[in-house]
Amino acid sequence: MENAQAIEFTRQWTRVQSNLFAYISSTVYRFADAQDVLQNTAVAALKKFEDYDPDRPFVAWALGIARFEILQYLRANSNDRHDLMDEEFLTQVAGGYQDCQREIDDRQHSLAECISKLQERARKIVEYRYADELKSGAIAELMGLSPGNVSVILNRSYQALRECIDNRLEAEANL
Amino acid sequence: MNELILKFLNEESTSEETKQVIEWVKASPENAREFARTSSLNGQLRMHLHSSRENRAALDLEPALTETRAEAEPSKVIRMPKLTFGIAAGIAACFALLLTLLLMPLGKPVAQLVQNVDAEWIGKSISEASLLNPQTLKLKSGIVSLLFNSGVEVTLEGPAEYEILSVDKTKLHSGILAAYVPPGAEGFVVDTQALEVTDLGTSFGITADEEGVDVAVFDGEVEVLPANSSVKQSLTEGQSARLQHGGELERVEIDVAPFMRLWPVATGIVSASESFQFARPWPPLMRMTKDDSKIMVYLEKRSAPLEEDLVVNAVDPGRYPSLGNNETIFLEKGTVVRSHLLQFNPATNGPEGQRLRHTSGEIRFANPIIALIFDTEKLTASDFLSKMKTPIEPFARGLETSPEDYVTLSSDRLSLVLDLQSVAKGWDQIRVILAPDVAQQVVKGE
Repeated sequence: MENAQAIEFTRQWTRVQSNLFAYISSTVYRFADAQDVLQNTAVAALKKFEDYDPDRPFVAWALGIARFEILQYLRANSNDRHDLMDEEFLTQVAGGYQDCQREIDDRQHSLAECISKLQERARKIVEYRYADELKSGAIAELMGLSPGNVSVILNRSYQALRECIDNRLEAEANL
Repeated sequence: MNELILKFLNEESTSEETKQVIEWVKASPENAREFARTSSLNGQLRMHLHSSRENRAALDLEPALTETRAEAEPSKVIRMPKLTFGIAAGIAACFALLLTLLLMPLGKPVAQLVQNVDAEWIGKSISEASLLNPQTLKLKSGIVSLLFNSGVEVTLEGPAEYEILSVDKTKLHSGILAAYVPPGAEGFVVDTQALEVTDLGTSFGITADEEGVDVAVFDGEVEVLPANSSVKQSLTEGQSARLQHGGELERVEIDVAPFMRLWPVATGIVSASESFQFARPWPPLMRMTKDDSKIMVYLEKRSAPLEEDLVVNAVDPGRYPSLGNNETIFLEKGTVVRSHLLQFNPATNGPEGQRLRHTSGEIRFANPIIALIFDTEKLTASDFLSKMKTPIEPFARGLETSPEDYVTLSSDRLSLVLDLQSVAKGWDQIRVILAPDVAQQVVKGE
């Protein structure tokens, strides 16, 4: 690969990477595994970059490669849940990601600030869930709550985050 | 539906609910967009919270993988071009670098898989040069070496399950492990089911199986904390301890046999023909092994800056000793090097010992060879690289032109082919100086 091409790839990739990661982690639950799939996608995309048609959106092309890598992962780690996720489902989700790319990108910028606005207990639970990958039962034990309670707090926190992000986007749009 | 999608994303949906979400997404592009909106926030949360946690844990990290050294004084030295390697290696390095850059925002990889000898994995396989984030490695068989960003080297022999928690904390669930912790990376922890080993700057080995855990210290010192106790015990060079499940920590005589298979890999050897024999991890070069056909391989320095200029015999690929080149070649003080000593020392004594013994073979290293030392005077002058005390000062220890000895350094700088002849009282030694990384420069003096 020539230098100019490598630079172009890096530029394009950096723009869509977080979107790809979100797509991958919508079906690959473990963070480390999702990162591995992302890494495999990057390697495959880099190798195939010469075949990429610049008239097509890069994100669509990269989502296609990611879809293939997810399928490989789901097959290699076959279980009841993974077996349900077929190519049609992954293709449909990739379409959703492609359509909403701009919106998803915009949302990301407000995330950190909105997390900091969550109440202490909710933030702790969100951290246990997303940074430590704990299930509701384990979080409930750590926090001295019932699992049902944890699920409710997580759902509310998620909705609060989404509203906070939407409000910020709206405010920015009205500026 | 949002609640159901969240349950799906967090692997908490039942089989029925999972099917329901999948069918709903397939039903229309608008549903797929809504799924993308919800799941993307979920993914972004994961990435954001993971990265901030990893970045907090990695604040004390030094980017040791790409060590650079200070510019040398310009006087009296002629710089040689940087070492060049095979195209494949170059491409691999480019990929690794590019991927490092690409994956940066997701949290730093903490280690790299640097050697893979016949590794078979359970589940996803990991290839050489892969960057590793915190994860569990499940090795079915074979041997792999990992280089952590702190400079810690860990070699694993399968079957093994090894969990990387962070740059300085790992857990060996089962298998055989050897670790080398360089100065500056002290505090590296290998936890096990039975006990936790904290390194205080050293080289050590651990075996863990269903019966218990054995720790053996080859060099330096470690601290051992049994899981069922709050009392730390210290183990130093040549000491070993065992903790059987449900028992107490007991001191045992060191047994290096379980580590013999992985040891060559742990010391940076990729492959070697049968004529090579590897010194044991412990005791350290206590006596000079004699053998009529074997070439002994001793590890001297792991990675250390030269305390003085080092005069060497050769820095270029080719066959040596060669005639006609009398210029002095040296590696500058401060150059970070690794060194091995290769030695052919026939055993047979008496009149029979006067008969020439011959041996030959090829050895391949993981790191590039930057210099060779093979004449008696320069070998003696470079003995500061070795802990070894030579019991009898041999009259000649280098390679001779009569009888003919040859060493050939391959063009990729990774292999040596040896063809050696010696009598019982003679020694053939070659000190092999390797680069700890590819950024090394070789300097030629006038």
